[in-house]
Amino acid sequence: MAQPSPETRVQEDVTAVATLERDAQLMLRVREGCSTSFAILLEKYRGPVIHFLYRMVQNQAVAEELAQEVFLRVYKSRANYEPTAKFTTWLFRIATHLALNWHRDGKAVKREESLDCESAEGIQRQIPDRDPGVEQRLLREARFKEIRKAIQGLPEKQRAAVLMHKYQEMDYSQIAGALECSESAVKSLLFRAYETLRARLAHLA
Amino acid sequence: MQSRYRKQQPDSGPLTECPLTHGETNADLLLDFCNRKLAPELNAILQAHVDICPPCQAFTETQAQVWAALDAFETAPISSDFDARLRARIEEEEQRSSWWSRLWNRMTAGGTANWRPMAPVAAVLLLAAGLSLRPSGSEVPDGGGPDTAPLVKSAELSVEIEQVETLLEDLEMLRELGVAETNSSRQM
Repeated sequence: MAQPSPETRVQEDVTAVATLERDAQLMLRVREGCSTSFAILLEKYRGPVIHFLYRMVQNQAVAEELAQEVFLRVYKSRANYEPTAKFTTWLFRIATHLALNWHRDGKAVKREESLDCESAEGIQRQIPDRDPGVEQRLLREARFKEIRKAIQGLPEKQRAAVLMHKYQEMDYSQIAGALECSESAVKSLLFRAYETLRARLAHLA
Repeated sequence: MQSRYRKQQPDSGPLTECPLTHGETNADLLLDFCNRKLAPELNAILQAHVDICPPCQAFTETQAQVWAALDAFETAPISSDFDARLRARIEEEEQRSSWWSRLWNRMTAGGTANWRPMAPVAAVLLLAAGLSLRPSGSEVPDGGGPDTAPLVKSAELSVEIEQVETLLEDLEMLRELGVAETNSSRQM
């Protein structure tokens, strides 16, 4: 397994720190009333937040609605913003709270798409038809459906932890900050979640 | 080198032979190893272990398969009007809160005034205003009907806002007087 060299790792760390500081600085400018800085943050995190929420609630319209609420809350709390935590940790904490509340409010039951039903917003919209073969397409759809089911089958906190770990590449401390739990609790959540996913998905690769 | 671990297939049940795959406490090591997030020295040690440990090999292989499968979880394109809708919501929110912000800014003189000492005076004045705003003959008549009631209510509301603004002006004047008195007492 090829590993990055120490120089590359240091460079990556420096870049990561610079990015974090940039985000905090942008947010501090938003606090001072700079709308351009808010637009930059929105441009940068619109996709990650919506994609995270989509994978959490598995409904694109709901994901966008919740993402609107996330950015609205960021904007409304700009006056009280203090760069004590990483911006992404704070952002995903808000997103996770909203997604968990949405599930707890029972809205998931009312608006949840049936995984067996190929809705306009579901599988057909998700998978670009790169391969003209019907068999290939059906295979890909079945595979996609199984992944969605496996993710949806995870308990909510495990699901949030896996999504942040896998797709946002957040480290344990950031995930712990977003989920408001300890790092060891995050490791435990990830261990159990991946154990379940290994049992359900390994055959798909 | 002879492995001391029994060869085990990934689908033949839980992998319990190696402590690294068995407990939650150590599993993050293997996860980080699979994710190429370990420091090179630690990675080399773990690589040497994985090379001779079938359960860890199975773990890393299936974990890689899971990640490959998760890569296929694509997302839908984002609506083109997402930003416009957000801007509209922000503007709506700001409009909704603007009258309250104006009121708050006046009360706190832009956040610089120390109005806490005036709070009891303000409370008494507001109470007095509340009592004086209850005219005896202003009840909505029974036969007023649903069409007239909102008009009466909005008229009452506008009177209340005017009263509050007058009160705030009085409060401001009192505050200035208070400051003047404090200054004159200091001079004495």
